[in-house]
Amino acid sequence: MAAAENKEMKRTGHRGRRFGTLALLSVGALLAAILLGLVFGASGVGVGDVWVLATGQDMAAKARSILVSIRIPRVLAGVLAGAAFSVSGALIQEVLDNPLASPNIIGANSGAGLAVLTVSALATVGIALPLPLPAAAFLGALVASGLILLVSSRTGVSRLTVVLAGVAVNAVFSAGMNAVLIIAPNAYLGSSTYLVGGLSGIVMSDLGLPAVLICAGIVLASLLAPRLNVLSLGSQAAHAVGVPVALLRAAGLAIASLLAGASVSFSGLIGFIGLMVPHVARRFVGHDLRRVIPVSALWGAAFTVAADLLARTLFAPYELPVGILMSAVGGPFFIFLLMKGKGYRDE
Amino acid sequence: MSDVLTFQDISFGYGERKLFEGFSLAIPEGGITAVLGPNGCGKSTLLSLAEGMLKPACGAVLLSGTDTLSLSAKERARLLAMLPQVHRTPSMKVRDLVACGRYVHMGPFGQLEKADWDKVDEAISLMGLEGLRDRNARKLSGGERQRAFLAMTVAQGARTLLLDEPTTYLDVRAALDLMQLVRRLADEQRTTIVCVTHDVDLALRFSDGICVLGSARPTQLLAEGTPEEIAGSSVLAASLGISAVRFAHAGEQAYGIFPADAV
Repeated sequence: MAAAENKEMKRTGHRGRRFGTLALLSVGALLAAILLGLVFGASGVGVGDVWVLATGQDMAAKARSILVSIRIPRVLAGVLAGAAFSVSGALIQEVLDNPLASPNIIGANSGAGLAVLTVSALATVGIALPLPLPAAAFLGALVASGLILLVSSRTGVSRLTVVLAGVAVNAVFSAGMNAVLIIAPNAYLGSSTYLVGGLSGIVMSDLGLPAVLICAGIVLASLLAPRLNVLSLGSQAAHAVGVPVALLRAAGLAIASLLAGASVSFSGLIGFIGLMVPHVARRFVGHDLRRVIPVSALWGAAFTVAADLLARTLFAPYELPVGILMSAVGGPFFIFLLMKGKGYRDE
Repeated sequence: MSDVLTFQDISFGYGERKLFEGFSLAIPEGGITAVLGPNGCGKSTLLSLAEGMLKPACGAVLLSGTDTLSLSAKERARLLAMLPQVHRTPSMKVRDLVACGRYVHMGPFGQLEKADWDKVDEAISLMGLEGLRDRNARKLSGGERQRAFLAMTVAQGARTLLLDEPTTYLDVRAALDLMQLVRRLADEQRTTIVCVTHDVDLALRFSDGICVLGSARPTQLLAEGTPEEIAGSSVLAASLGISAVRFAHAGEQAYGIFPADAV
């Protein structure tokens, strides 16, 4: 008995250390992805140039302008979008108690996208709404997830029904987006890329407000994580220990909408990552959201920056929208993980 | 002895079908009260009404004299704990699972004080789970899981505990062990326990009082009494179609269950 206990303690002590190592490795991977993203591209910029810029020394005007006005915004956009969609997915999966849910599946992304395209289209015909795009996108995502919450809060609704409702909401908002693009083809620059998610042509001023919203969202999600963990008892047991279940789920979905909306406002509808990254994270760190959230943020950011680097260099001078590449690379990898993990059940 | 949980003139139904109409039941303070009745008679619904998960169309559920619906989630959780029947075991360590019982004591960042962790460890010891403290709850046997959930309700520190078919998925020995632990909670911690169950033999053996619900709709309370009174009357035959015969062995009492027409 004592020996078994001792073994158990060793195992969990080992676990704790393992998480520390994993977190450090993740930060390292993200930094590496960022550096590679800054250095590689259509025109050469050296690692030395990045160092020179970072330390504030004088440098060649051309390298400087490539870094400052193209590469840095683009890499930053990848970091923000990757972290935002991944944390949003982790929240949605926990709140809806549904491993099939994610911001694109429940329609939060298309809700945000429709809001962005509508506001942009109105602006082209001279109706300027006093609403910055990220805020409009947040509201669009909030409407979609509100609808899903409404469906899922009815008693006796199965997890399958929730996903089906998401598919329906998604269909309606996607139809709306396509309608806006047909009526006002010039509403949004690069609109074909927008629907699959892409990071080309992003400038720093697009990122200010989304960056603030996304950081706020991740902080709020982390603060709520210990409470959201209790939801995994199931709604009846959670209610019994004093969790205001409906309120907590609504808060979780609102934060998820904030994250997805803020990101959709500049990156378009990058879909797959929000479903995949939280799953991969849970396989490595377990179901505790206090770990899943930071790890999802780091891995999502690193994966998006790396995928975007490939998307713009693989077929240079042509460029793929990053959303396409992420699905093309991430899909098979995800299937590989699912098949490798025999008996892996994400109940 | 005063009543700690009172169902007062409850009317409730799912959709058109009336499950309860003017139903009243009072649970006395202290001891174990078992609620027996056929499938679909609303035993579990009564617990959900007490917890405020469901709202009665008419009437009220009183917890020490206060309408449960007028309590905040926090106030209610301090008075009333519940072990629901359908719970998926979350993937967390036993100690973290038990700590969920301290939810209402969480600080602004979701942290718990040392006093809370002491309560958690106390509950773990009481349920004999010391060796499994750091084990993932999904890796436990059925009986161990149920004890871990029971430890969670103990850590909650409520004076009244509702159990919804706590022994349904357990093998025979694990069910006996669990009911023994429940008995200890009633005797040593002075917790008032309401146990909805299908295991009539366990209910008769471990309870202080039995309530029997009928099979007709709307559901009526057929009888209340001590296990001896209930087993000695014809009410089990009327409600469940069974009769219970008492046995004594090595100073302990148990009940054997027979179809009512066979005895």
